Parts: sequence; structure tokens; C-alpha cells
Amino acid sequence: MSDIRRSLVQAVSEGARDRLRAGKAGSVSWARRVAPAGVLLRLVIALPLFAAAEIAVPLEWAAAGFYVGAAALFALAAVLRPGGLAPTLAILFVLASWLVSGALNEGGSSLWTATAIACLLYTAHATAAVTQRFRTTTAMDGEIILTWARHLGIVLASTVVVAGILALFTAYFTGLAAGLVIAAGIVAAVTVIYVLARSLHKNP
Amino acid sequence: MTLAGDPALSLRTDSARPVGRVQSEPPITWRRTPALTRAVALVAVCLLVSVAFGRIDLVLIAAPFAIGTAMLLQHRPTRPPEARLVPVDDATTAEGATAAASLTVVNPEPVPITTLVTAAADPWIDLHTGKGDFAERLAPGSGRDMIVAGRARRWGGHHLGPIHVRSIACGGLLETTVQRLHGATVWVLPVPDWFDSAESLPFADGVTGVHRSRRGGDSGELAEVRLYQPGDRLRRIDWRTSMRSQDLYVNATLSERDTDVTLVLDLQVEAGVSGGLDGAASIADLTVRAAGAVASHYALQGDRVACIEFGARGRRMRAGAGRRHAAATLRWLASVDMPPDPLPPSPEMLRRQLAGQRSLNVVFTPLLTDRSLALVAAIARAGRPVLCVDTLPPHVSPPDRTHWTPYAERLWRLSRANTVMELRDLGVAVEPWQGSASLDNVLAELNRRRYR
Repeated sequence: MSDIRRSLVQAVSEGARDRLRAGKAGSVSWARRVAPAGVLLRLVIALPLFAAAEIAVPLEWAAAGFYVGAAALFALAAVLRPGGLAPTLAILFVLASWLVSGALNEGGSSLWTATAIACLLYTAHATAAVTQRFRTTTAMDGEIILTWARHLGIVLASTVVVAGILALFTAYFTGLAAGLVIAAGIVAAVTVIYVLARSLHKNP
Repeated sequence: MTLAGDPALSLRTDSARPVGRVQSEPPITWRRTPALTRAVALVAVCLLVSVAFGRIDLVLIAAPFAIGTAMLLQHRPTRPPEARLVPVDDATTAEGATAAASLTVVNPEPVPITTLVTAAADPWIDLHTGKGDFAERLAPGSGRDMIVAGRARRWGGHHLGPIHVRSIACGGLLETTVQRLHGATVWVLPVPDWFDSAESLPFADGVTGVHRSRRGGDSGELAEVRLYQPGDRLRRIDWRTSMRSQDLYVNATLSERDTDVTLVLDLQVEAGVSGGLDGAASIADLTVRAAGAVASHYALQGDRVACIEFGARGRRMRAGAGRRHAAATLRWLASVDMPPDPLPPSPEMLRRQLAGQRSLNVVFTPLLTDRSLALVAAIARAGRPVLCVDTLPPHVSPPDRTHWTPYAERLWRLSRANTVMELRDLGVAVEPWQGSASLDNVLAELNRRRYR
């Protein structure tokens, strides 16, 4: 049968077969070149995000299919595009869930749950920052992983220390006048924001 | 028509490239990444919400982001790293071997950075895992040599690049803009099929070599054992035969000569899809590899080998012998190119380029054009010894377009077989290329014809 007489179905099926073959070859090539360190780092983005989303809400929410699906979707998006907006959206999703569940369930959340969420979110954020320009096939120097792990360890330990201090002095904080606390809080918040924003805009 | 209106005068000149601004690469600078923006934004949002709603837990959630960002931004680089390609003395490799380009990245800052190198390559170069896309840690104030490498799958000039270099610092909070290095061209030499021939060439010439001459002389090639004649050297006496026959016999030998071998590469038509070293061969693949094999064999055994292209470019490789000439011939063969719309070459002009009447001409041709047939026939009619190597791969066939295609192809193949027989009638030895020792039969036939 000549090219001119070839039916549309035949042409489409041949095209689909060619694409399937190319896709298969691409998958085989990717599987051959995949770098374990890159894949593991991406897993380290997904798992903390998903775990943080699960512990940020009460058990009955955490078991709901819709919520689990949404959390998994955000985590998956962050894995696939660590250099884009996806990790930010996933972190905001966790924070929104935490705030809503806290507002609905008075006294349900503890300081240590917040600490765990903070640690998990920062783990995902720091890993996404390291991984954002790497592909799954990028072969990585072991020193990169070591530096990342060392930094993460120091920051998480510092967070636990901060949480301990907050837990120890909660009674002291509650004894202060509300106006003073709010004023001190605003000053502290603006100072931190100013310092970080200055470093953000300053040409390095 | 006036002279000013003559369209021939308003034609653009040959190199009419419009004068424009030279596009220079933008300077490499450090810039913040989305991760830094994210960290600062999250800290700001958490702190503001915690103050607004009195949620101290949000301060705790913002704490690692603030601590981590402040720690990472403590030491920041200001000058970008410098990446440059290192020129290689001999950028040649062989089919199936590694083609590589080297680059050096220098970190001038007292801050460690991570350099990400991403390279692209010609489709005929399979980049090795970890050698085309990799990230390396650079210590403060240090440099590092990096290699981009891949497996060369086919002969020819292949481009390894462009190579993109991007550096990351402060745990991924800062990054440089991409520096684009243009890469390097690596010449991949064809790996010739193994070829060996025990047959002597029909027109041995010159004063020394490996082919036996018709003329007697001093060498190790035994011609006959004959009765002693006055003038024979005493060390040629065959004492064993003399003892048996009671007469004095001597060993007569033939002198050894070398010869000129001219390889003519028919590069007018390309057919078949090349699969590289591990796949199917196209006409160009067979031609180049077969010519490489024959050239290496004769050049290494001391014959003078020359190559001529019968194609659009009409290049010529001077005659020479030895190991160095064999390597130069392979490099010459690696730059064989078949333009898609070539100018037809002239058989008459090529015949004028052939060496003397006594050289052996080996024509590598798929016998697909009348010009090739005319060339081979003309060389044969001129009385020159010519050996025609058929380089049409056996698997090459026209695409199946109608139900008449197989019959048409069969007719075409019959016609081609007739043409080959006509060439044989003219005295041309035609043999398909089959690798090792595939030309021995036809060389023996040429010898017989010569000495008949």
C-alpha cells in the first residue's frame, strides 16, 4: 500500500508505536544513567513534606483520602520541580493545615509537634535548595552530601534548643503584659525580616 | 533594460552577512535562588502571623529557616568562579574509545562552592554516566580539573559541547548565571576492519619491498633450484640437492619490490542508516572502514598508499608508507563527508590524478551511479590494474512503498549483477567487502592475469 493510500488509523498507530519505542528507549537510557544520590535527595524532599502534612492535622483528618491525596500531590510536585514554586506551595499547605487545625481544635497542638513540623519543613526546604539545579542523573560529589547533612544537623539541633528554651520559659512569657509581648514581638519580627530582606537584596 | 536595473548587478555578494553587533556572552554574576526568596518570605509570614494571632508555635516554625539562612549567608562569594576549556594536544580517538574534553574551574573566593557541569554532545557520542552531568565541590581558593567524556560510536568529527557551567554557594541560596563553553571538536578515527592479504600485488615496482618481482635477485623468496652457472654466488649453492644429484645446484630467488596502491573512494551516494560501531553500516561506513583496512595493511608493509575521493570534494591524500602514514590516512578518512546535494565529479579528472601505469587501483564503490561505472571501466580500458570493492551493504534496500517494490528491487538487483559481470569481462575484479582476506581471491586472479 502506498503512502497516499495509508489510512489515518494506520498512520496514527505507526506514530504511536514510534513514540512508544522512543519512550521505552528513553526510560532505559534514564535507568542506566540515574544517580542514586540525586534520587535519594529528592526522596528527602518528599518524605518530610508528606510527614509534616500528616502530623500537622488531627488523626481523623490525616487519614482522610482527600487530605492524604493533596499532601502526596504537593510532595510529589516538590520532588519533580524542586527549583520552582512547588516546595513553597507544599510548605504553605502544611502551614495552612497547621493553622486551621490549631484554630479548630483549641489546645490540641503542642510545642513539640510544632518543633517536629519545623524540623521537617526545614529539611525539605534545605534539600530542595541543594537539589534545585541537579537532575536525577547528576553524579554528585560526596562532599556535597556531607556539607548538606552537617548544616542540616546544626540547624535542627539549634531548633530543638530554641524549642527547649521556649518550653522552659512559657510560664514566664505568659506572665508578661499582653501589650509588652505584642510590642516586643513586632520589634523582633521586623528586625529579623529586615536583616533577612537586606541580605536578600544586597548584591552578594 | 538599463544597466542599473540589471538583476544580476543587484545580487548579493557571496558572503553577504549583514553587519550586526557581535553577541557577547553576558558576564557571570552571583544571584539569589528561589530557595533564598522562599526562606525569607516564610520567616516574614510566620513572624507576622505569630504576632498578629499570638501563635508562638509559628515563631518556632520560622526559627530553623531564620537560623539556617543566617548561617548560610554568613560567608558569601562575590567574584564568580572562572571556567575555561583546556586545549588538548591531540584531540583524536578511535571508534568505540573515549572522546573527552577537559575544563578547569577556579574558585577565587574564600568560600566553598559547588560547580554543576552539564554537557551536550553530538548524537554519535554517548556521554558516560557521571561524565556529562556532574557536580563537584570546590574548596575555597582552589581550582579543579574536570573531564567531560563519552563513548564515540562513529568515525568523523564530533562536537563535544556546549558545556554549561553553573556554580552554587551557601547551601543553594546563591547561584551564578550559566557560563556557556562552546566545547571541543574531537576527531574519531575509523576502526578499520581487520584485513590481511597473503597475495602479492601484480605490479611490484620500486627497489625494495615485500612483493616478489618477476626479476631474479637477492632475497629470501625462492624461485627455483637450478644448475650452477658461472657467476652464481657460492653462498647460494644448495648443498643438500648437490650431494644427492652429484651436480652443483643453486637456489635462485626473486627480488622483492614495493608498489603504489591508489585507493579511490566513491563518495557520491550514501544509502542505509548508519548504526555506528555496534549497528548496521551505511555505504560511507563500509567505504571508510574498508579503505582504512586496506590502507593500513599496505602502508604498514611498506607499500606507498594514496587516497583519492571521487565525490563532491575531490580531496587527495598524498602517497606514503609506514606507520605514520597509516595513521594520517585514518585521520584523512575520518574527515570524509558526503554533502546531501553534491556536484557530480568527473571521471576524466580523477583518472588524471592516478599514479603511474603500474600502480594498483582499488576503487571502493557501491556501483550505484553511471559515473562510478564509467570511472572503473575507463581505468580498466587504460590497462591499469583495477580492483573494485563493492561497498553496497547487503541489508540496504529501497523502502517498501507499493506492492511492486520487491519486484522492482529484484529487477534492479539483476541489472546490477549484469553490470558487475560486464565489468568482470573488462578485466575488473569486483568483490564485495567482507573483511579479513576478502580480497585474496581477486588479487590472485589479477596476478594470474598479469603473469599469463
